Amino acid sequence: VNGLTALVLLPAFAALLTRLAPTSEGARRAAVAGAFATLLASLQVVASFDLGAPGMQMEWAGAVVPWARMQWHVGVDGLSVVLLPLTSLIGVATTLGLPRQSMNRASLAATLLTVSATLGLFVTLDLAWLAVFWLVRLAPGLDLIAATPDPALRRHVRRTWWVFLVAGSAPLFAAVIALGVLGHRAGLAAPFDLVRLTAMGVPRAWQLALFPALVVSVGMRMAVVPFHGWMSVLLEHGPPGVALLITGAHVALYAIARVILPLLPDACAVGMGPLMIAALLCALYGSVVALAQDDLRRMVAYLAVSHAGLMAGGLASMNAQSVAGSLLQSVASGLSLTGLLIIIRALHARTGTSHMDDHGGIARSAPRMSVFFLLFGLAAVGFPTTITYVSEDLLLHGVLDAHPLMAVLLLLATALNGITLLRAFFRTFMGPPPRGAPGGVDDLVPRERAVAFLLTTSIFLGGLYPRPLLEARQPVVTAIVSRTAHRAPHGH
Amino acid sequence: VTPALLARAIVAVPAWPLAAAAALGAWWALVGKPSERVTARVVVGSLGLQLASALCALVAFVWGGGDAVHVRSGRWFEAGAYGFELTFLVDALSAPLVVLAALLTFLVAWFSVRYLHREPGFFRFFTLLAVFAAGAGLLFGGGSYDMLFIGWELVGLTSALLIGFFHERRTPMRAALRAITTYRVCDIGLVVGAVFIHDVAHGAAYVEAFGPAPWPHGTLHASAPAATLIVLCLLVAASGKSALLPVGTWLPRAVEGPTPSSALYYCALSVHAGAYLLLRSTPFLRASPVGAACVAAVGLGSAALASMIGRAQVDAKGAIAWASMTHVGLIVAEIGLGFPRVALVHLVAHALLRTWQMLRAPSWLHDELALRAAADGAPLPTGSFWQALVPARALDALYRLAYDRFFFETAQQRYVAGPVLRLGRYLDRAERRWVETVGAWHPPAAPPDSERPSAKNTRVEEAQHEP
Repeated sequence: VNGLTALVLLPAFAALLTRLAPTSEGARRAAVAGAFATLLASLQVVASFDLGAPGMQMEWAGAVVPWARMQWHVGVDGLSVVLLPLTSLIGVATTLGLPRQSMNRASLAATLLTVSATLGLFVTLDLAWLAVFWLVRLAPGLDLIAATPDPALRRHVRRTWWVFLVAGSAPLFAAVIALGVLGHRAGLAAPFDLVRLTAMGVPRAWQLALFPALVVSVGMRMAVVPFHGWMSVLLEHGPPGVALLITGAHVALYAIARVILPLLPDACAVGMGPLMIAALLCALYGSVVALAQDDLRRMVAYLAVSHAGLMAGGLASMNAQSVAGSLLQSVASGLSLTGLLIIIRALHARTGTSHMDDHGGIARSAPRMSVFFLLFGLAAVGFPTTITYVSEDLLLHGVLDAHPLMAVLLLLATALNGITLLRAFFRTFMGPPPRGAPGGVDDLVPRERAVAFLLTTSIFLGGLYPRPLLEARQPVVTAIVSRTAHRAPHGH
Repeated sequence: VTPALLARAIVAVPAWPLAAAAALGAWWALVGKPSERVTARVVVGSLGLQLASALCALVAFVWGGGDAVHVRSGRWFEAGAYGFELTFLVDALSAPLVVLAALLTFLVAWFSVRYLHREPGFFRFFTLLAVFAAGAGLLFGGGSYDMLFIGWELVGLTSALLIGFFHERRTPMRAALRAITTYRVCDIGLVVGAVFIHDVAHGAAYVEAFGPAPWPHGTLHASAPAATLIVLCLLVAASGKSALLPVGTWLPRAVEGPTPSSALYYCALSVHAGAYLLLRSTPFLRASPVGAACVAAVGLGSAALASMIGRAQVDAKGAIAWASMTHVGLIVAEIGLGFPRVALVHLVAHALLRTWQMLRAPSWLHDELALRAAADGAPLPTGSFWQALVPARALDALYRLAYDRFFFETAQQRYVAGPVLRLGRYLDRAERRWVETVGAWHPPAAPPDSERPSAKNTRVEEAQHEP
């Protein structure tokens, strides 16, 4: 079996073991061991990856499924190879780091299945499989929502999930089918094959028709304003482990870089300019709403919306710096928001509330929780020496090249995000505790500390030595920029 | 050994304290909180090494006959045509300031070992002090606007965290939040300015932007409007950090922190960082008369108002903080009027005097009594001559205005912070309504907010005091 296929199957197998384990403690061990094994396997893929080489590596293609014309064709390039360890790391962080009370056997298994589907989405080079994984990622979460005890809440989360995430995927499905029809007409044996479709090119009229459909679906999943309504619901009430994996913007960003930019370059040349302005306005909108939040989970949700706007804006400005910055930001944002959410969940599990006014002075009884919150917060707002500083610096230079005035929006959004997070830190972790608040909060337990340490180390190592991450993406970035540059109406 | 080789010691100036902070942080995370003795030895030791490295750079500069040395130590990251160069510059401006910064940080750290003995936040204070020292080294010793920005952010963050050092009380928290909010907003000016400089000079390094001519001279390729734009951006950044009015009202509240860090930040180094930024950008000021006039006007206005407000203060540290703002205003005005060397001398002298004053502030009463005994009565306060020229009625009105700090804080709250928060809350309500409609949310009888009896009161209180 091909290594990449094994990587996709590994967490699914671990999920099966988690389900079958005789005791709940055994299920936990199986899940954590499975998550760590997936992390090691994805690091193995990274280790055997040749950084400088362009094109796909570790490619493997199976037979074409006769009726659906899908083909199990996998491979990685610089774009996807970074996302494999990121996904597995988030998997480890959720299975090991989230509070035990919220991670029962079903949650652990669902988290691992979501990891598996996400990895599948990153390694497949067949559009139909990509669309299938895009949808299948949502299935384990839906199963968990059905187990929510409060009926009103259950209905609310389920409805939000269906409207925004499942129904929001419909345009993407339609577009993928249309592309498959195009491939079939051109006589491709595997009509959904991304590599061949990219080489073949899509007629301009088709591109212009498919572009809006894909943008809506991807924007929905990325939680770019105005498609972001599900983010706060999911982070506040949704199943914690799966929610953490679904909210990461890197999946949708990957879809833009893998599908929209290569297949629809003409449409991008026309549509990306306005999209950039819209996305940056949305980033600022997310920051303003985040500033007004009193609940830490909702605050992170709107911070994520703001990040999504920044990344979408960076990718839409389509020059070397901003595309590299945007792709790096997706990694940075994934790491820092995961860290923040794990700390907030830990706090919530100990006190039953994540409202800022219910807390204060936590630093005295739980110094490690406070310091890690501060570090993840700094990482989320682009503080120098963290990986986000590098990505935001690149984003800024790229956006400035494309549209100088728009950079001010980006800067305002990042400045506001910084104020939001430090304000949350001062209100929640410092100052006097509010009247009637419990005496103290237990500090992070060793497993939570280990996860926080792992994430912080990745954030600061990536910040101090970002070159391998940028070099891995270099060929992809060059390809994206050169493919779209000569089609721009006025040339960049 | 050549001067150029010795000047490379500048690279070690931020490296020593950064290594100390990283080591202490890792120790804390993996083993536990180190003892006072270990903490103090590691930090004071690293600051001693920092001072030695800074002196090496100064010696190299003097030995080399006053030629600027540009030290390159590789690229941090790059993408497309843009890359982040790690560069340092030893010249007539940075050499004295790096030594001043290292000296004052070392002395204040040494002083704090006894001053903060048995304080619960001893370890936190010294770790943050080490991070600050690294930031100051990058800020004053860095060879480009990008390097300066890194140091600028490290200094700003540690500043806010040290203002909130006594975190059991609410006021230091508010003061810290006010400071960091001002920093974040004004730093936009620095980022935009740096990017414009990138565009104009094709690089953010000082040697690229200003050519080989020694400071304060320099050749520019920028047109007057471009230079004006850059100067105005940098002025915004400098106003935040150096507490120039109208945004500088955070500074007197910032002395809520421990006395040694207040001395180091708001009398010695952090408060002069903005002045350093403008001094460094002297060639831009020369190219733009309009920009220079704005700098001078902000400096003079700030000095005049801060001096008046300082006269109406009733606490020792507050009076020192406003006096510090007055002099920083004067230094900035000197830069704007085209006397960078005078400003540099003024800056160094002011930093030394004011730090001593702040460190002596707890003994103010003792010093004041000694002074009165020696002078046989209270000496006239400075500025009495000018005060006598103002008519009595105007003096009353001015006193009233000065007492209320010319309503700068009220205006910031009412016209900037308030509207942004209100907009955010309005959008949040609209968001909730929309999501509840789409997501079919039928809340249970009592909404969760009203379950907290204390929540409403604290929220009202917060709303009044938030910057």
